[in-house]
Amino acid sequence: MRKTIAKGSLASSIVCLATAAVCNAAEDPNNINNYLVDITAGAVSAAGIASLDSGITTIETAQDLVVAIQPLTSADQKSAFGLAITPAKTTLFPMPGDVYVKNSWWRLLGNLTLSYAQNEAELSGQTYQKRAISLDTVYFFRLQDDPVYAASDAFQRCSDDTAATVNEKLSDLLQRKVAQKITEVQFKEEQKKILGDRGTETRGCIADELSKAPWNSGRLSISVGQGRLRGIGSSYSLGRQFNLNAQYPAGTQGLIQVSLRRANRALDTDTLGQPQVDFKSSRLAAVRYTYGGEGSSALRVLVEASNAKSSSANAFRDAFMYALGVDKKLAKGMWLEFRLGRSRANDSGTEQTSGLLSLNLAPSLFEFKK
Amino acid sequence: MNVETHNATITGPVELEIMSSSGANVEVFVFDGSKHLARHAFKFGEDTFVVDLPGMAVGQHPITVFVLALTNLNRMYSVLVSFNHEIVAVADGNIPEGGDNDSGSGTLTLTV
Repeated sequence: MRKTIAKGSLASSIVCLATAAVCNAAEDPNNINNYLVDITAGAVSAAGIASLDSGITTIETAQDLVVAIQPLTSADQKSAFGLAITPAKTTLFPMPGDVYVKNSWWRLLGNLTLSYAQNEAELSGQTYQKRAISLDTVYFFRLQDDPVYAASDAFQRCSDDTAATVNEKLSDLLQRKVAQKITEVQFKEEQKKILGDRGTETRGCIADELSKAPWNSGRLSISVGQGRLRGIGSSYSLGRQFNLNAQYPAGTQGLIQVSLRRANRALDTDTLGQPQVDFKSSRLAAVRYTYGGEGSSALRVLVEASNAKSSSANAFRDAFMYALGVDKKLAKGMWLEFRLGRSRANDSGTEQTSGLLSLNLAPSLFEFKK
Repeated sequence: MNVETHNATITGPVELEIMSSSGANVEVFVFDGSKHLARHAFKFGEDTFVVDLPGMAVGQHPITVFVLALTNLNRMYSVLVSFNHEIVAVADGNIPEGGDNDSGSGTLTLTV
């Protein structure tokens, strides 16, 4: 339950502040996401350009690839589907871990994802097919922040910590085999169980270790994509998009994020069906500071500025020029929340300022003991 | 997982070497009979683990090699075990789809 000066749910806003992660921007004035530029990794994706929300196949093996490209080759073509492949993570082109950590270039390559998506869209009374491709990758500035390396490091620590136990179990198993107390089949079964259990325990330990990773680790993500819209007798570019996002920790509680986006000759779909269709190019730069991202923090602050313009391409037009969010914990389960944003309106391009103050009370405050 | 093994004859002193070039996390155990000789969990960036075994007596040794692999960057594992640079065990493959780990063992006779 909550007492608000402006109505709406702020639970999702809190999560957004706490994690600096993406939340779906709803038409909710309380949602901090509606005050922010999307500066998350992979914001340019083939699925995004083709407006495909689901049905994206991640390819890991040759069989996955065969199944995934079937819609492209079969006579009965599916209108909406997508596929994504990170070659280094597949069994087709697997990258060894020692190569992955060799230098920054290998890590960029190891995380390189290629994606394709196609979808149908009904625009101005005509059916169009959208097709898009994209490339994206991510790079962690410190090797120890890279989840792949961190998992291998945790794997070694977790395994070493419990080595004595498994050595003892395997030794006991071998003793019984030598003494012919168990058959070869039983030996294989027991060995599989011992090592299988060890795998499960070690994986749990790795997950625990990874959960302790800093929330604000420094990273860089780059994505490029382009799309095309095809109708009967017509074909338009959905533009080329480039996106560079970087984030860097500012102490243990702070995070600075920078986003640079560029869209070249993106079709303004509002002009479809008109005598002259319009294409727009735009650039967007945004910087954001987040304080208090850790769950235990009693103060959360988010400040953002961007150069959003009313003439920007569709994708960027609703971005806010300035946004401020402050959450102060008053008591357990009780937060005072303030939001302020200055933006250019989607339709008219005029500038407007929106602000709200709300009190968020956790439902647990209203639960009484029987 | 198939751990392919070969018998070998070497002269002392004995040096055991375990090598891994895997996209999976790999742990290798080596036993002489039921006596633990060596164990190593590889983290990325490490490709070789070497241990001297000066106490290994002249004679025949029944060696068992266990390999455990957990998915990480990908499912691929590639492990070599050698005594005095003579390769005695190889495990090479992918963790099967649908699971996140795989394991296996192989035995051989080492004559010192």
